[in-house]
Amino acid sequence: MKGHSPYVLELKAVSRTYDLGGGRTLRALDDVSCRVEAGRSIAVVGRSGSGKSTLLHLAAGIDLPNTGSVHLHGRDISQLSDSERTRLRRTEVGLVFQFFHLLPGLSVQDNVSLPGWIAGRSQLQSRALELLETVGLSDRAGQSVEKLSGGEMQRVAICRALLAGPRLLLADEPTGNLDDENADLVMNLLLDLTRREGSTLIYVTHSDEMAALADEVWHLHSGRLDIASPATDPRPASGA
Amino acid sequence: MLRYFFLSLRTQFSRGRSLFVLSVLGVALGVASVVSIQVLNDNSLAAFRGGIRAISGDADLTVVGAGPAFSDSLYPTVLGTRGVELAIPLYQVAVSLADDPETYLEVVGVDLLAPTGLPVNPTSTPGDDDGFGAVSEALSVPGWVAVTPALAEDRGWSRGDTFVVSSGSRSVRLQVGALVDFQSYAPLASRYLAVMDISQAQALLGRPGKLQQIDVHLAEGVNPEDVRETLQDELGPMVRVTTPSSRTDDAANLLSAFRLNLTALSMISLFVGMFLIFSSTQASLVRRRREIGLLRSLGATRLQVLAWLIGEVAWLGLIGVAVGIPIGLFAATQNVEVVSATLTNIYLLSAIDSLRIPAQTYLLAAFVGIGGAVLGALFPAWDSTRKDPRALLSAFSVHEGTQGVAGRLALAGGILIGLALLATFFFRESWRYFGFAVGLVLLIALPMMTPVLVQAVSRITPAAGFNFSLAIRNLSARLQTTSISIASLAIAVSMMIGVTLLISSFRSTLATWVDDTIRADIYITTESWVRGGEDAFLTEDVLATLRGHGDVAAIETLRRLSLEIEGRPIWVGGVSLTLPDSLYSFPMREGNARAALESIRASDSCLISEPLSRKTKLGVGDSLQVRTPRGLERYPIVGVTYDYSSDGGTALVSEATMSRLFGEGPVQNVALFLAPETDPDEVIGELRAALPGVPLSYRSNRHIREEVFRIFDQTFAITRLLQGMALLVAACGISLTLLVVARERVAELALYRSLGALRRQIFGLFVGEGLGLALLGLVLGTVGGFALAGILVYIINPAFFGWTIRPDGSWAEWAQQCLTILAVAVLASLYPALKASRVPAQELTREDL
Repeated sequence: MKGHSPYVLELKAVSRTYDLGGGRTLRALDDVSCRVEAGRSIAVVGRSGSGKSTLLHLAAGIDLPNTGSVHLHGRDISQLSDSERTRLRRTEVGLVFQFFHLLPGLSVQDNVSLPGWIAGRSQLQSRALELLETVGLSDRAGQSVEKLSGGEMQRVAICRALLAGPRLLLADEPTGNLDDENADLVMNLLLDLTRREGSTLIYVTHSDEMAALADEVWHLHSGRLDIASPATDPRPASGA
Repeated sequence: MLRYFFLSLRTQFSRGRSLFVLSVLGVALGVASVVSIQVLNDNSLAAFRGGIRAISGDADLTVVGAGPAFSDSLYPTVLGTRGVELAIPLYQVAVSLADDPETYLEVVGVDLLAPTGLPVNPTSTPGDDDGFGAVSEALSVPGWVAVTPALAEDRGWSRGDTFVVSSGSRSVRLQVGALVDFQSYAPLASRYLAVMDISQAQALLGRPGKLQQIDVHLAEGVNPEDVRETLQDELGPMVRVTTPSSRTDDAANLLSAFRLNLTALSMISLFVGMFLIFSSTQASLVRRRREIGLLRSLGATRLQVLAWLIGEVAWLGLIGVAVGIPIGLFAATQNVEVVSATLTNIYLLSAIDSLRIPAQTYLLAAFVGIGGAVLGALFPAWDSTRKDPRALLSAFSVHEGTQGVAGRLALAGGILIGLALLATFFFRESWRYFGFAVGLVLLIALPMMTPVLVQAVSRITPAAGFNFSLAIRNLSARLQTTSISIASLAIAVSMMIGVTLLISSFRSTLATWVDDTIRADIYITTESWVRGGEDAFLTEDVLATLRGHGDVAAIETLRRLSLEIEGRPIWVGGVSLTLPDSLYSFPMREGNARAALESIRASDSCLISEPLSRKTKLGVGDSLQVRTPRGLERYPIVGVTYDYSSDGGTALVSEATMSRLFGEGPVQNVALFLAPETDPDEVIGELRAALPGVPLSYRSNRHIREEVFRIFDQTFAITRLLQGMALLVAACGISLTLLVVARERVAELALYRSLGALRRQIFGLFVGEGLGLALLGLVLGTVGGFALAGILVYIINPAFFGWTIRPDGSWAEWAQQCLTILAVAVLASLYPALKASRVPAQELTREDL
């Protein structure tokens, strides 16, 4: 599945507009081009409606651009069928959400194992336990997720995203629904685990502090991308 | 608020067309079941009532035989009774059309010179089609008969045409003398009604000197009850003086069990439909909880919100009614033939000629459709409005509530069932409708068990991947929605399995009874026997020919009369009892067969059937009180036999006893026992050749068995339709539930998609959930079905029909039904699964997973 590109993700002149009806349109992304090297962490900042989530959706192959192309490990995913993009997502992309999106009827371990079930890879069951061990939740593997705190839920969600060993991890405001203490814990864990797994991390955040932890910060203004300085030289993210 | 109501109605429709259509369909099918059965029930009596209206007109009183046809010597007594202004003698006989023996003509013999209640105009000319034409023609032309234009058109007859009918073993040629539209006079009258001169009817088709009815018109100012009592005293016990309306009541009583059972079964579909409404209202309220909270915050009172929600459901119910009525009428039209056949073959009432839709049917449909929908929505609507606005505006999951009460619900259901079982021991036989009450308790308790069952199954199902096991576990996560669907399916399955078990048990019991009792090689009767009654007799020369056949080793004759015993019409058979003891078989419920046989041979004692025993509460050692020309006489009951020939009841005496009681009379049936190694079909061929043109019906032992089961299956055909309707409503329930679930779980489905689930995987997951719903519904429904079968077999059947039915079921049939239900469930899941599989991963931006 993997191409020979040195970049995990590459967007070339990508634009995405939405039809709002009545002849009105919304330009969520406007001629965006960028590249992400393997092992890097990127923070995406911007005001609400600036196109951050659209960028993540395009990167995950959940959405397609109107113009331009999105390349994942060198493959132009715009040219893939829905089924091919879905299969690619199974192995290459991990997703973490602001609202965790854990299934209430399943246990902690089952929630982590879910991508393995979907992919039909039963051998990932033991990896789920290993990941839970890493985030300190192995003793709660059999419990219902409804009994976890917000921070714990997000740790479970991170484990789920990492289960298949994806090369690209996309996180949409992973700490947006957590208190400060848990936010720090989860963000550090996310960065630590992605580094350890050798994955690339792109995360959307409204927090300057969180953005500062990334290798690069991308600013989105009304759909236009401004790739800024490395995180070692953070600058205030507009709209944060 | 009213403006908002209409706006919201439009929004609801445009936002959830599939849910709306399925909810309407659920109500519509429930309404259709009730409407079809009500129309058939109503028309089954209407045809009888129409016949009475056409024949008796506005007579004040009617004298009818309480046993065999009575002597016309009673006529002058009636006419001479004080207060009687006019008395019209009638002779009615059902004759078979020779070219179509299963079609009967109800010939009414009237005195054409007397002013009858019929649309007779003796002064009209022979060319008139609206009257009899010249009376002289009617009296002088042999076989002159007036028929309805509808029948004439059906058969291609014109005035002057002739046709052959059979009455007993006699064939008679009749001539169409006039076309009289009885239906314009009495719209419900059958097209098969025909009128001829009474003396011709007696001589050609019946018996001279006998009458079956005298219609009495009273002088003005006379008290009908006084005259009725006087006439009854003067005419003696062999007639009954009654009013035309009470004759309809008698017919209603005769049909009451048949009608009640069909009504109860039709209500089950409506009940299942109510679950559908409950489910869709619940789904709609969960979706709109914030809207309700907002309205409450803006000042809407609880009552206003409740009225708004109930009003919405009432609209939905109204549309369901509008759709359900034509479906019900169509179903009634499609099944009128089988119900009509049951009426004529089993209850000997008039066939349903054309369906009439009484105005109250529409009212009933509106009442059950809208009422059922409102009742189904009442609890969830009330539950939503009683919450304070703050709770409604905050995140809320109805499923959490159900998770908590599942155990308590199951306990309450268990207590209900326990109480019902306890009551069974005490009230089973003391209240006739007890079985229906227990059935209702079962249908209420069954859904209460559902949430616990779903939880338990979900708990024991291992998490083993994105497959059927996850589908089963998902059912527990949306407990309230899925429980309702499973419950409604379980009720439909209960009905299906319960009724199927009843039918198969009944069939098997009947087969055993037929094996025990049908022992002769050939049974001979006349073609008009089923409805011809006493007049459908075999003449002596026919009997002599039968007796004279060389291969006939023994012959048994049966004379059958309809008598009124304990206020109910029953058949009394007089049997010659000339065969060796070994050829008789009486399956006894009470008493000893050999001793009973000896007793009825030697004395004026009788055997009675089980239904008669149950309905009159008489048994061995009691006496049967019989009206005879000598007055009321008592005859000892020496045995109670299992008998499935009539739910009205039968009694058996010796032919000699019958002659002593009612005088000599002709026989209607003959059973032939052939010499060993004789081929019955050959003998039938030889008898046909020896009796050319005689309208006899010959049935070999094998043939009569087939006939019994043909009639049996015909009787239950309408029941199968009701089972199908209930299943269809339940299938709508599955579709509706899965659509609701798909809608509630948009974010979850998007999550699956974002985690790499293919569309077909989600499609498969949803079909799996449909299958899971069906399997759990099947498990619960099978348990309920067995319980319902027990209620039908052991409580309702004995109370209403009086038969002992031995439980017997076919595993193959059960398996076939299960497969059908599963297939229906899978089909019902396809559309929701398709919708679910189309949920895009972008929907994950929603927070309410």
